Amino acid sequence: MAQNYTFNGSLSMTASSATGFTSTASQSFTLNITGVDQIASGRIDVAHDGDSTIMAAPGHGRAIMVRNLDDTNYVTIYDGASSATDPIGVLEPGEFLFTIIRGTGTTTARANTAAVTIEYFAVEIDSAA
Amino acid sequence: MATLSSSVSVSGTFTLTDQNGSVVFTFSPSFTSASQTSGQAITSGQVLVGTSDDTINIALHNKDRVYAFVKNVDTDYAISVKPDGDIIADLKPGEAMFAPVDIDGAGDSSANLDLDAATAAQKAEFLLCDALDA
Repeated sequence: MAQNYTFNGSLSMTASSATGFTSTASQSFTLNITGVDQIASGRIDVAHDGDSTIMAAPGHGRAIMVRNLDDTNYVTIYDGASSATDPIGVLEPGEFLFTIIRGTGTTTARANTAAVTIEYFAVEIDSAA
Repeated sequence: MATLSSSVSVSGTFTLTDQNGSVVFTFSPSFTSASQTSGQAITSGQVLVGTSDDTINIALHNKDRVYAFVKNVDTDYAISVKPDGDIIADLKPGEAMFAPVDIDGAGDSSANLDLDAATAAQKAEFLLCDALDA
């Protein structure tokens, strides 16, 4: 049975240069999610010779976080199949992305050169969220 | 020759709670990039995003990979974030996204990181910093 959820997020980025210049952006937000079925989280190995699915096509949209846990290799996160070349982000080791996409595409990942492990969550959101 | 030595620190906390008050998950990822001298720019600003694609401050940046933070600071409608014409975020008022973005990921040499408001003009803020190529 579909459940209701509350998603709380906060995000901050600071960019700095060696001269002492810094710039910071941050934001906190809440999504009230009603009647959705699909929530995925955990760790998976992402292959370099094929697409790994992070979340199958949602009914309306999804909130996604992906972090690259590998030591050396990068991984690309896609909206849809990698063959469509619609990358959401390119993650070097240790980096993560977070986004909210109100669209019905599958979320996939593909590593460069060799398999990598990613940590992730993907939460389906409804049209009102 | 002078260089711009830059780095970023990024962090987030994300919690999903069910209707009974039980925490489904909490993630708190963070990273600090290595300081690098290949980058050309750190830029930030606020723009009034129209209902057709408006390019934000990308001309100076590395099209192959740029750290991008975008948030919708208005009150009414969603905005889309569109590198290379493809939507990577749809942000309602108060929401934000972060990603190391490949601006010309489709290989068509697009130089545009566009924002697009769904219904009427909306204010958005951004912070961009060059990343090393993957």
